[in-house]
Amino acid sequence: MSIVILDEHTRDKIAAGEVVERPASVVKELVENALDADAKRIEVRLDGAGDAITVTDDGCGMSPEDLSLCIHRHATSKIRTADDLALISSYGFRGEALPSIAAVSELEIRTRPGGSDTGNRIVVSAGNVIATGEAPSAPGTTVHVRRLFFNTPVRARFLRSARAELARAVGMVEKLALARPDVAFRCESGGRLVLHTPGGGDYLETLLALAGLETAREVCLGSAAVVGARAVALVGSPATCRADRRRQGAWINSRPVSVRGLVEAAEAAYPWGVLPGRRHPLLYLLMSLPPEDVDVNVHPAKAEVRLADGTPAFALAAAAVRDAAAARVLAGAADIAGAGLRAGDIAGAADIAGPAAPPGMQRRVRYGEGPAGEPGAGTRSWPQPAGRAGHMLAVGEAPAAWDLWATDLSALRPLGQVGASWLACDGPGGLVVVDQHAAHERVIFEHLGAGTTSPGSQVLAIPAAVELSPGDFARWTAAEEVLAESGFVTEHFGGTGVLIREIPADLAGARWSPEPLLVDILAALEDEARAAAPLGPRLAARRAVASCAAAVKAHQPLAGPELSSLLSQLASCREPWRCPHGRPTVILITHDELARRFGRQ
Amino acid sequence: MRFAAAQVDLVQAVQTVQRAVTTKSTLPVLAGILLTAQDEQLALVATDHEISIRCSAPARVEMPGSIVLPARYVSDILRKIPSGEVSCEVDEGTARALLLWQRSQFVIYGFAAREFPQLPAPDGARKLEISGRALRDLIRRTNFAVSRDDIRPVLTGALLEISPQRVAVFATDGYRIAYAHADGDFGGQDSMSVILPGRALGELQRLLPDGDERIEALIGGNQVYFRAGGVEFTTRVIDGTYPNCRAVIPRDYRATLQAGTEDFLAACDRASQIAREGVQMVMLKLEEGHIRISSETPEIGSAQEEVQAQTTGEPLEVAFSARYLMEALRTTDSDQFMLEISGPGSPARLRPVGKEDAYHIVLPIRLD
Ligand SMILES: Nc1ncnc2c1ncn2[C@@H]1O[C@H](COP(=O)(O)OP(=O)(O)O)[C@@H](O)[C@H]1O
Ligand SMILES: [Mg+2]
Ligand SMILES: [Zn+2]
Repeated sequence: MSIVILDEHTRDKIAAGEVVERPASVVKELVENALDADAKRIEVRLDGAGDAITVTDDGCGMSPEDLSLCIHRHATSKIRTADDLALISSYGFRGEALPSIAAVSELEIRTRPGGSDTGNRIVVSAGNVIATGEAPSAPGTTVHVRRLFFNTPVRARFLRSARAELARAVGMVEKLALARPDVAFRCESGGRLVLHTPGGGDYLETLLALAGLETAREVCLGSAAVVGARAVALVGSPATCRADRRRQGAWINSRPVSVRGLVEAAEAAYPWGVLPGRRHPLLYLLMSLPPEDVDVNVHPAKAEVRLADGTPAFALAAAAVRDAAAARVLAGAADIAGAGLRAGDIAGAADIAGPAAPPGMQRRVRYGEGPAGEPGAGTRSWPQPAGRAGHMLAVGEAPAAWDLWATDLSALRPLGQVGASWLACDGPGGLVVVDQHAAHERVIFEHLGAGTTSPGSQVLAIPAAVELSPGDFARWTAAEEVLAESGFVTEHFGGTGVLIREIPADLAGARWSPEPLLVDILAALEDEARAAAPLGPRLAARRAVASCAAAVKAHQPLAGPELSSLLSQLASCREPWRCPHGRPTVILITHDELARRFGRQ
Repeated sequence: MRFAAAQVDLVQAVQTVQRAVTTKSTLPVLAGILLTAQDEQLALVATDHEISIRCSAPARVEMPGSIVLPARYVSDILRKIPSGEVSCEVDEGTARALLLWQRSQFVIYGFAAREFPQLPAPDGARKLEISGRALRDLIRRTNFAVSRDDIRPVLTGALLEISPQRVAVFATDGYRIAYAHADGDFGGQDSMSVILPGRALGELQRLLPDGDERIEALIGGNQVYFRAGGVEFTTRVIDGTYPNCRAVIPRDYRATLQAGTEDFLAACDRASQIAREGVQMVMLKLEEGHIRISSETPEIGSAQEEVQAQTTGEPLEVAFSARYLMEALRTTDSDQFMLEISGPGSPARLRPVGKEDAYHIVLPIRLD
């Protein structure tokens, strides 16, 4: 797409104003340009007090002509006429950012369009072109901003400390990274890597990379949708509550935005008791709304958007939070990944968060045109949420998630084992059936991650030597360290041999040997790596160890005390309702359901 | 074949050999007992390829011969027959046995004797003589530690080290090691060692007389033959190299404790009730004059026990599996025991006080 200068009429339609207020806004504009250029990897480098900013992308690049045009006001490749404004799906459209930045800094752009083998550069200082010409460049674009605000001392004085500005700029990258899990982000500040996301398209892995496991495991996810609009809410447990709202935010159509009252409306639906003075839980709203409903043309920095009257956004946001609460799916992102957010759902979330079609004019999303109210043909479609995110039950119709959640697992009366795989229990709400394997998996998974209460690792008297297949050996090499963190201490033993020195205490016993366990775990790790939504290595290791350990314990006949013990261990889990892979550990067949089945209703 | 014998003698003989009967084999004949009537005796043999047991009962043999009868029916029926004489007539052509007593008669279908595998003759280069009690004790004090998973076949057996003056046994499942020895005059000249299956040793332990009565063993390359009283017991030998357990024994210790076995065992047992199922981890903390045993499970509660003990060395704190500690303590056969600790990640040795004839190596649970 080539750049044209917008006509007068169109220019006037665009809200005027300054785009560049501070380093963070420069970062935002440059990253958005990279996203609009279809980049898959974006690197941001911040130096000094945030007055030196470099954004490198592997996007489509610019031709020499476009390069010389792009620094002119209202030069954009993204819209042509005022009509296009209603259907904006790219981040930029004003053609304002680069000229504004160029006016207050020294700007150098190096770019090379795909398919061309020469690169070009342009250097601009305080709005004046200083140099142009061919220059070596990798495919994509690097925008290098130096001496930001050097010629506007007043603006410079409004800036806060370097630390604060840098933090703000990093925060901006974080928001954009969260908006676009399909893009790999790296951000260095003062030479230190402060943020990186894998870019696999997995929303949850991105959250994990950004927020860390400790936070991610406190988060649960819910969703709500009506025709043409959908909300996903990432809601933190009370443990994530803070006095400020720094860990709250909204994204609409992949754009970090602020909408008056939206987060507040969602927070009002938050059901958990919260400590006084710490009133704001982690709350991220990812919404997909028809572009017609979203007026992004309010503020030049586009941070604040206005929603059309009658938008379902507020109701959806609250519903999504309630859904998250009902599901209470949280726990390790592992669980998020599994819990009701299997591949499809995650893709759904990612989809909401990121444009699926190539950005640009062709990505016009129209809603309500498809059959049966599905999003219209030619647009991205959302996978239907698998029931409700975090649904608990498959029996009967509406899953009685709340009923089950209200069930005190430790108060269940075990009735006995069914088919050596399930435990039947009498619960207050009905018949509760526990999947022995899934329950063990959950229990072991949490033990492995439990830190201080970790069961530790049993040192072996006779270290066990295993000769691995080359494939297993390669997997072992990659996983050695994380396995050790899970209590599986191993070392290389010549060739493809591995010596097992310690195993998780949970698994020690004369009944099973460490060798096959290691081989099984390596196989399980391979499955984890192949999963639709691969996890970080630590979670993957924990999950693999847990499932193999559970497999070892499965199909064991359990007698009375062991039944109760498994139940009480499950009850004491943070997230008893699902195994680390997201399958339910427990189902409830309500009294109503039983009555109905027996034709008594 | 025709014979008559006393019901009690038959029941006893059947029960003795029955432990070697297997129903899991692809050879159905191994679910039976080979009966051979000859020389005023009825010989009974059962085998499952790993072990075989042979014994005999006094009988009045009218016509010698042999047959294989299904162990389950023979033993059930014999036990329910009133005491007195039972006679048995066998049609070897059809492999049927007719059991007669008082006015009852039962027909049992069996197998022809030639279908029963030929047992290797007693054979072995090395002879061992040991009292029944000593061998029983050695097995009792070690055999519990063998592995029950046959991934590492050698660990499913115990290592017997035999020399003219000492018989020593090692058993380990890879998690802990049990050792015991007996001194005496065991015959033979050279020293040798052999790995015997844990299950075989368990059966042997049941069969051995509990007295000073000496039993005889012949140790061969792939089987060991025992003769104890009228019972002959043969077991297969496990091939392979047994791990060098002595290498695991630490050379020096950072702390020791000596305490009353019963007290400590009971305290450990109680504390482990609070420990999480499956791991049963207890913390041992050595303090001046006593040892503190504690356990904690967030969802259950916590336990603290204090047991009087003489402690030396560093005030270490080490976690162990209560199960391994308790299994070791139960076989120290001594009022007082000594635990020598070399650190939170290194082997510890547990042994009786006042005796040098046994020890256990228990490995800690590492917590970092
Ligand atoms: N990283 C980039 N890769 C490719 N093209 C870019 C990049 N940054 C800017 N451009 C081009 O420069 C134009 C002007 O950018 P900008 O001033 O931010 O305006 P806008 O994004 O509103 O169109 C864009 O429309 C695009 O064509
Ligand atoms: Mg732009
Ligand atoms: Zn699972």
